[in-house]
Amino acid sequence: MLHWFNPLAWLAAFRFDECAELAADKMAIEDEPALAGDLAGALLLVAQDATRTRILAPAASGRTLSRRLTRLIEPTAQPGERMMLTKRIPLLLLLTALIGAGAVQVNLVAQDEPLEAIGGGAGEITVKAAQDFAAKVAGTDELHKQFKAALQTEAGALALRDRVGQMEAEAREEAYEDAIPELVNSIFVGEGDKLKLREDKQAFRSQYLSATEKVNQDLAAMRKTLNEVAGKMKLESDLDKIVHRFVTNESAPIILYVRELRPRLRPGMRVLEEILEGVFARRQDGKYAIRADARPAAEQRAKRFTEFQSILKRFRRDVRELGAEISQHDDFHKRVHAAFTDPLFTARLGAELIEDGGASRIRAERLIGNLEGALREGAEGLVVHPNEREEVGEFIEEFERGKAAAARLRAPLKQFAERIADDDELHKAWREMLQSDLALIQIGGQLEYATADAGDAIREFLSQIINEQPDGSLKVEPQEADEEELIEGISDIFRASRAARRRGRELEELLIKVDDTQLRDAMQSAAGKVVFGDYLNRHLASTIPNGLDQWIDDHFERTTAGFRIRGEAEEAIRDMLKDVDAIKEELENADF
Amino acid sequence: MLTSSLLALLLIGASPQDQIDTHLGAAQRHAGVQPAPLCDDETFLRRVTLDLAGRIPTRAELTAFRRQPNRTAKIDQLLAGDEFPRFWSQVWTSALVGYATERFEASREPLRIWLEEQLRANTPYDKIARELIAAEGESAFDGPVNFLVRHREQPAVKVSRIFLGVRLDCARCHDHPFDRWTREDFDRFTRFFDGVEYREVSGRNIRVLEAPREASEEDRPRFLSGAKPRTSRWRDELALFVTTCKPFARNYANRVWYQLLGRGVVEPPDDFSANEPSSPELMKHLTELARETKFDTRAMIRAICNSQAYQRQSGRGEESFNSHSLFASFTPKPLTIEQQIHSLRIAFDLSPTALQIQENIRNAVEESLDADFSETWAYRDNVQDEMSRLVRELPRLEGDFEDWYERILSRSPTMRERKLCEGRPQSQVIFALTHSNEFRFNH
Repeated sequence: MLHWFNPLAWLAAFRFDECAELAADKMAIEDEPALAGDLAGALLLVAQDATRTRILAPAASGRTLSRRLTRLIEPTAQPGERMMLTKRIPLLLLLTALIGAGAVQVNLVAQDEPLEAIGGGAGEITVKAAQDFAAKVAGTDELHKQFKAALQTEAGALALRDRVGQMEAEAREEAYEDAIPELVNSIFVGEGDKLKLREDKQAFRSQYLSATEKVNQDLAAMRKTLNEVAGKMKLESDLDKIVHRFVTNESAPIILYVRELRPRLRPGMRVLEEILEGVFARRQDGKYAIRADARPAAEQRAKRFTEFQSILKRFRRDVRELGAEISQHDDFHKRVHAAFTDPLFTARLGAELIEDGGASRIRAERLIGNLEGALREGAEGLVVHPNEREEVGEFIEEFERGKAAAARLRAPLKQFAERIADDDELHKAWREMLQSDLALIQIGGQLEYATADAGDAIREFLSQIINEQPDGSLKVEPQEADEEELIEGISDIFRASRAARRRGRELEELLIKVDDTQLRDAMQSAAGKVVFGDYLNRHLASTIPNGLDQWIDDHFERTTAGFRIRGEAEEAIRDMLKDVDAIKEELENADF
Repeated sequence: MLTSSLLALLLIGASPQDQIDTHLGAAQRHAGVQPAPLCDDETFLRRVTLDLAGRIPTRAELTAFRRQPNRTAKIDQLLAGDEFPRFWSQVWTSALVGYATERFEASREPLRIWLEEQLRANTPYDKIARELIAAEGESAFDGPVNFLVRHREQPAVKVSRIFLGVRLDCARCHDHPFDRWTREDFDRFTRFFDGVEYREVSGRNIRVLEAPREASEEDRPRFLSGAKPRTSRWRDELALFVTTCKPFARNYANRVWYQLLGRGVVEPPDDFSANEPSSPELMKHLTELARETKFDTRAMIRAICNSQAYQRQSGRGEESFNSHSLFASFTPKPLTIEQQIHSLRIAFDLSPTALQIQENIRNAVEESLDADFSETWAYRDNVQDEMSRLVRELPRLEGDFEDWYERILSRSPTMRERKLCEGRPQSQVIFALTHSNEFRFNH
């Protein structure tokens, strides 16, 4: 047992020292291998010569020294390093899916485009902002003077934040409470005892119907797989039974679909968000911005991209030329030939260059040289060298998968790029980069579900917790989570599904009077509610209350000279000033 | 021995650093401790450059300082330089959140960048602390919120330690007979954070916001001074309570002193309740200095670095406890990872980019520590990989061992060292120098 009681800093310093030594031993050996044996001697010489101060003598104590000596005798190779900017989607564990899902605001259903619905701004009232407001207050009587003076202090800004914050909290609660009826009212208008679609909502109607239809197809495919799985499940343990209940439940799997499967079937923003998480984060305003800590890496990446663009034309021609010579005598070589002559393949190679150090002309040529090295002359053109067949095969297969996924990515990537914040040049550079073939093929290769079928997707998902037995039956055997965690995860899904049902009923009741039966039926169906959830999230995001404006309107009237305290608000302002004084008093020389 | 009031009278008009030395001198005489002589110019240059710029001096700086060894001017130059905010932001970030932030869903670098901006703009420390405690915003973009995100399990414990030098941890479970803080104190202090909400806006971007709180008189939070919040914004009020009380100034002064001298006047620096200052007069003076300079960190550092206490020769490890605690000699400090990486690069003329330094540090520490502190082997491997990589990248050096000593140890070799180096290949000499403790300590 080592150093558990030591402060972390000391541990770090100690280990770091030790490693620095090991590292440079290695350098010395590489430099002059013959001298390896002599190095320890050199160290000891310096040790004896610690004339400056004793504490500065080099460390040459037992354990460390012996390891250094071992290393001097048996130098080992260091693995190359490689920087990954983008994050691979982790294996879809049921658990990780559920933990992340806790943040979903509206459990009615969904978020395809995840939007956070909570506004605010009280926190942004600094002393400076309070002073700016004070400067616009016009009155000259005692109360106005006191108010203006109070806003010059930290305590005054704090009291203002307090009032505004309370107002915002109420407004938020109301917005959430009224969200469903408000959204319904924005779509329909009452005529007699009927609800009719508003005139300007025709486009909405067809969008809604087609979105519902898509979700319906997915749900049907998913249900088919679930029934099949349920039929084969062996119900022995409690865990088996719990998972079986989940699989056969009418609405719980829909929650899973919304949170986990759908974003991958139709790679929307959310899946792009995950893949690009190393660089971008979605802000409260819905825009994607480059993380404060990712800037240096993002700048480098953008630079390399520009570099690649400048050699792209020639590089593409070179690759294609090589590809044209590839024999097409069998299926395998036909695929290789097709890949090499595909513009996306050049992009894929470019991504490799950029990931791995940069896309200079020389590096690009070296890469083509490597490709050539994997080929040799055959009767009808170039063929893949037998030794390289496996590796080339894998690369081509990965490329084909990426290409298939890329087809579905083009639209969402464009959408993502359009939502990149207009902050500066770097953001602009990334917007351009993300709409290139290079981004398309690179991100396409990282999509987890290449399949577009929801039935396959749920099967793949469940395979992580359910295993096939020798007799063909299915049994719950979580691979990477313990049973407790799995049960907790499933409970969470059930909870979300109950909450969704309750809010879903509220919607159904509101829709009873809708006279457009086709639309009504669609909206009341399970799939329709998934779609409604999307609209609801967007609606909530657009109703962010501004507490400061509201508070000012409640307490002040706007005159040409500036803001004046309303007569009926005087008492509230006096209360506020009392708080300011009380806080200031507490601050006088507090000691303990 | 002068009485402290008489001493105070004599000190009127004296510079802050002279006052430091007067107080310490009196305490040292009283304890019968003989202070070490002042260090030589080369040692001073190396020490102050490491402390204020986070690296060893370049050869050009060494040559210039040998020609014109003006210590006060050097301190001013370093404080005005570009590297000071960067290095001190690293120091403060480590104190505030440590390295293993990702595991707690906090982001270290945005916080560091923010602190660097504050230091560059010379934002007073009390204002910085206030913003950290009351922070709202998104963790991927707004640096200060990462402090709370990192400590969201027990914010009260960290806030009281780092800003007040008070350990409330022990009062968390039960009352201790000799500790002045009770469990009730702890509970009510903790309640200041009841209104904090953490929402995941998107992956690794957590929004911290403050929900207004209300409670009956007996359920309201209570600060250690006894103050209770008046409004619904409890955390904001706490930030004011903390940064205006006297213990805050004491703690701040002691921490800056600790960073520079390697040991606090109150030691350990996060436990004022249980430890007396080694020199109460010095502690009082530094506290007053903090308040008089309105928490201007550069002013505080300037005073300390100009003092004789900072400029003494380093100890030989044989000093008495009194000698240590009364700063009769300088305490050697191991270089931080940032200092090591940066210094190695300076010695070999590799001016690092921000990205390189960030990557070196991350490769060396962060990921392994984030994984699990128990995986210390993994940690070692990472540091080793990173150092190997750095060393592999090092170019061969021009010149002879005279040059290498200056590059790596910021001094000329002694006669004996010259003899030892004679005829040895470069790899051996450089190996020995980069591995000497003289290189790896600030002494």
